[in-house]
Amino acid sequence: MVALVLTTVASWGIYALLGIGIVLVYRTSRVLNIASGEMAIFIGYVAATSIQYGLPFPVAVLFSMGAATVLGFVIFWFAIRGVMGEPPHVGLMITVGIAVILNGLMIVLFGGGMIAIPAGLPAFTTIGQVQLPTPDVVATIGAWFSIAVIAVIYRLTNLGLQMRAVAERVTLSAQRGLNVDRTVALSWIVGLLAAGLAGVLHGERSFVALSASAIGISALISCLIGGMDSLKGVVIAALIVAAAETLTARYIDPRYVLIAPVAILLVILIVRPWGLFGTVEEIRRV
Amino acid sequence: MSINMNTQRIPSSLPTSRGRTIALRRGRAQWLTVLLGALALLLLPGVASVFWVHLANVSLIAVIAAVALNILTGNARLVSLGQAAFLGIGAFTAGILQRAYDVPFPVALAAAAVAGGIAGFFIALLSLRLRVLYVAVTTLVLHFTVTTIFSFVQAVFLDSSGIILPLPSLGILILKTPTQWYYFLVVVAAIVVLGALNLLRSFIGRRWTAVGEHDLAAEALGVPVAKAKLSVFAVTSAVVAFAGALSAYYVGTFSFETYNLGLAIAYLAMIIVGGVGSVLGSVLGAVFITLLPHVLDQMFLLLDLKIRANVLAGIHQITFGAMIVGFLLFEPRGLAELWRRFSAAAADWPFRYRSVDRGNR
Repeated sequence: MVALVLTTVASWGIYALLGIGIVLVYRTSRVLNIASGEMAIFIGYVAATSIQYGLPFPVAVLFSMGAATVLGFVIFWFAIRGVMGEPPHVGLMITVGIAVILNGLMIVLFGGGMIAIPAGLPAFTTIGQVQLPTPDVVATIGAWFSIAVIAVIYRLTNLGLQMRAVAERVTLSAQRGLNVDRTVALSWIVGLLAAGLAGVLHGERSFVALSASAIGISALISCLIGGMDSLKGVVIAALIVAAAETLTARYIDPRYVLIAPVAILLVILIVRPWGLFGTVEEIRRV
Repeated sequence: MSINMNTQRIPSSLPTSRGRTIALRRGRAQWLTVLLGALALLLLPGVASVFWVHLANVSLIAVIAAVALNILTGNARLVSLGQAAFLGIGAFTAGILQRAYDVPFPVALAAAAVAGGIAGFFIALLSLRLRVLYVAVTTLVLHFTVTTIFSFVQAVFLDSSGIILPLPSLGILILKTPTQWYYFLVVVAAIVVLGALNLLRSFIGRRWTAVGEHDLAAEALGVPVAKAKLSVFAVTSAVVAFAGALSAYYVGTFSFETYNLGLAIAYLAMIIVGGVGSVLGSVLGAVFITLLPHVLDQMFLLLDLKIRANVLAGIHQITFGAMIVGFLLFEPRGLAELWRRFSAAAADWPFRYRSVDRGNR
């Protein structure tokens, strides 16, 4: 029972982290990032491959975060910058293209097979009486620590203030002397860092593989249930999605895990299309 | 004044009357292009090998589905990620009917179209209140729901490895060889393309485009927005499901694994590369994207590069994605615009600049 709760909390953390990445870039650049799963697993592959080359786990994580920074900048500079301000479907389709490219790159560069990311820790952690699987513990701590860090950055630092300003009104913040390109680039980098970390933690829990980019779909569904422009909403909705998936896998059939979140999303789209915590005007603007 | 004096010298492609402005083809050059194209289509099986005729067949089926998707996504601006689901609805409807009741080929195709139309109608009902991104998300929801149902149906009621369909027959004609299929598909694709061109010129198509341009403005002009959205979804989904059934019969077998998100993305790539909102673009894009992996393979074969099969699949995907991103960034109107510019330049040769902008569809 405790293990089941821990599994849910670990997936919750990973989906929330990925979802926060999607919401951050959506708020600043108005691009719905469909490629977040592919981005996550790509960075996961970087970490897994560097461990295979003999780097210890923490160094490999740091290295992959460096890769995520570069990837975030490259994606923003060469693709997203050109379509900002275009109708929303253009941004959507460009991330579809990015997803396909990343998928191909994963095959060409890393072989596209199943690789684990071993943290090099004992298989079980014993806290008092209960034995817990260490990978889930690491994933939970890592994900929730990073979510806290992002929340602090977003609420309390200058960068976070700038991101919120751009999210609110691009033109006005540019008129106040804010470098919009730089802010959006940084938000994409933060988004990629969040996605990359989620991918690494997912790999550490189970493994990285091409099919693992399905976590992006779960995260996207979390964002839509919570409301595309709400960080609080995505964290809460990620719990709903994670719990629904874990329960379906345990009591019905692991093959149909996606159907429960999809059904919830369908209900949300019918009764409250802007999501649980989204802004109502949001749906007008898109 | 000068025009009246030089009546003889007005180029035949210039629209000088109302009939001319809405004509499908204007001028001798455009008719010549169409005739040459038709001739090339007729002669293709005579000169090409069986493999290339097979590829032409696959392209023709893709053309049928891409034309429909482009009306939905390009003209009515309802981005659909549910293309694979609609193709699958067609294939499964036809396959199950064939399996259970042994219905004839044309009836199965018609049933597939009806099933696709009904599914499209319900998705449209869901997305009536929604705008661009949320419509895309609704179709994504449809995709996952439908593919899960397929995998369930196939595992429980049909063969889990895939369902085999018999050779289709149209009265006395049995479609067996790629060449027989080719002529059948050319006729069907021509009907769909001409139908799309005519539909887009009619008041129905103009309503769809008006709703796509701006729904509030369309409503203010008296266009029934809800009806337009419902009809465009139903009609295009019916055509896509029809293409799905055709493709299932052509391949001879189908399985739920075929209808993955990658297929939906491939169709989006077709209309982006071809040209969003252009019938010619859908045709060019469908042929281009279908042939792309095979052309790449031939190129690597010619260069004598030994590349492992899975790496080759990765290279296909990278090219594919780069096409989507590149066309969106640098030529958002796609191949159709390149063709328009090329034919305009060719028509005005040897002059560098055109005096009159010629329309081209």
